[in-house]
Amino acid sequence: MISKKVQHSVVAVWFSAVCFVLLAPLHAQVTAQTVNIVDEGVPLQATAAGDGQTDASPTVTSLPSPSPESTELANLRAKYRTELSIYRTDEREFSIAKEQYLKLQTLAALESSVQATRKVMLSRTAVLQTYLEILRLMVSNTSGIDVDEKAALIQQLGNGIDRLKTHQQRVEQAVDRNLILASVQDFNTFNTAVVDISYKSLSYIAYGRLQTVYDKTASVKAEVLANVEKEEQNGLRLGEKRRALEEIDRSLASTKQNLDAVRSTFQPTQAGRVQTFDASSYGNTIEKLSTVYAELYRNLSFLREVVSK
Amino acid sequence: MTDKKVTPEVNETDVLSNQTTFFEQELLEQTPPTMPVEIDPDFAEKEVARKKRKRQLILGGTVGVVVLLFFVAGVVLFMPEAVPRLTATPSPIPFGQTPAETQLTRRLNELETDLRAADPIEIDTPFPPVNLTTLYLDVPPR
Repeated sequence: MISKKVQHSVVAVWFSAVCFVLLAPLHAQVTAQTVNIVDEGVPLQATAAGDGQTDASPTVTSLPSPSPESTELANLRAKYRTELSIYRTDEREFSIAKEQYLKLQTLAALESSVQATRKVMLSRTAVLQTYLEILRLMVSNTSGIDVDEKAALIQQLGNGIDRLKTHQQRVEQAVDRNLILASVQDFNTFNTAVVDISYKSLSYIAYGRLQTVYDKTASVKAEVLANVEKEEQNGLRLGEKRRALEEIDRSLASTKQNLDAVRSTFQPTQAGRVQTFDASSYGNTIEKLSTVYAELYRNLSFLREVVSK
Repeated sequence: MTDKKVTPEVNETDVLSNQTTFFEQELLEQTPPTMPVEIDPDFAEKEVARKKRKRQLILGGTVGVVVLLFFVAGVVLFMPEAVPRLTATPSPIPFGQTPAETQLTRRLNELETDLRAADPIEIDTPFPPVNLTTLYLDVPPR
C-alpha cells in the first residue's frame, strides 16, 4: 500500500500541475502583450529613421560627443587614483626619513632615507606616466582638434611617456646616495617638458570640446533656418525669424573668431618662437575659452527663442 | 424395533395439491447446495502483483508530471523575453509645436548637454599634485 505521506505528495504534485496549467497561459499572454506593444508601437521620434527631419540633417547626430568617456579611460583614471594615493603615502614616508637623517646623521638613517627617496621617485614617475597616458587618450578622443595638430600632440605625449619610462629604469637601478642624486638630476632635465606637454594637452582638449560644440551649433542653426523657410506661413513672422537668424550668424562668426584666436596661441609665433605651456598660460587660455563658452550659450538661447516662437 | 427411520414416499400430485406448504420449501437447517468454485492457487500473488503495478503506475505518472512541470517551467522562465526596444520614451509634442519643431527642440537639448560637458572651467584632469622640484636627499648641483 502507498503510505499517507506519499499519497499527500502525489496529491500536491497533481494540484501544482493543475494550477500551473491554468496559470501558464496567463504568463504567456502577458509576454505576448508586451511584444504586441513593441510591435504596434507608433514610430518613435527618437529612433525613427523614416522621419524626414532626421534624414534631412544627419550631421548633428553624426558628430561625436565633445568629451567621450571610454572604458579604457575609466580604467586609466582608476589606475591613476591608486598610484596617486601610493605616491602620497611614499611622499610622507620620504619626508619623515629625510628629517630623521638630517637630525640623526647616522648610516642607518641615511640608508632609510635613500630607500624612501628611491621609492617616492618611482611612485611619482608612475603617476606622471599614467597621467600622460590619460591625456593621450583624451586628446585622441577629442574631435574638435585639427588632425595634424592632434597627431603632433599625441606624438609629443608618447615621447614624454617614453622618457618617463627611461627615467623609471634609472631610478630602479639607483641603490645608493650618488645614484639617487644622478636620478634626481635626470628628472630635472625633462620635468618642465612634462609640465609643458600636459598643459598644452589640457588647453587643446578644452579648445577642442568647445570647437565641437560650435560645429554642432552651426549645424543646428542651419536646420532651424531650413525649418523656418519651409514651415513658417506668416510673412511677418518669417521676416522676424530671418532677422533673428542673421543675428545668430553674426554672433557665431564672433565666436569663431574667438576660437581661432585661442587656437593661434597654441602655434609657434611668426618669429618662430615656440609657445610654452604652464599653469599660468593655461589659466589665460581657460579665461578666453570661458568667453567662447558664454557666447555659445547665448547662441543656444537665441536658437531656442527662434524655435519656440 | 428398528432404528431405521422410514420416510414416507412423496407423491408429486400430493405435493402440488398440498396448500399448506410452499413449492420450494426447505428445512431451516438444511444448507443450500453450492456450486463448486474453482480456486486459483496463484490468486494472492496475482493480487499483490496487480496492486504493485497500480502503485508503480501512479508513482511513474507523478514523476512524469513533475518532470513535465519542470520542463515547462524551464521553458517559460528561460524563454528569451521580448527585447524592450522602447529605450527612449517619446516626449509628448508640446502644445503649438510641429513635429519638426519638436525635433529641433530635442537637438537643442542635446546641444545644451554637450555644451555643459564642454565647460572649460570644470577640469576633470588637473595636473597631478606631485612634488617636481624638491624631491631629493641632497640638493642637486645647478
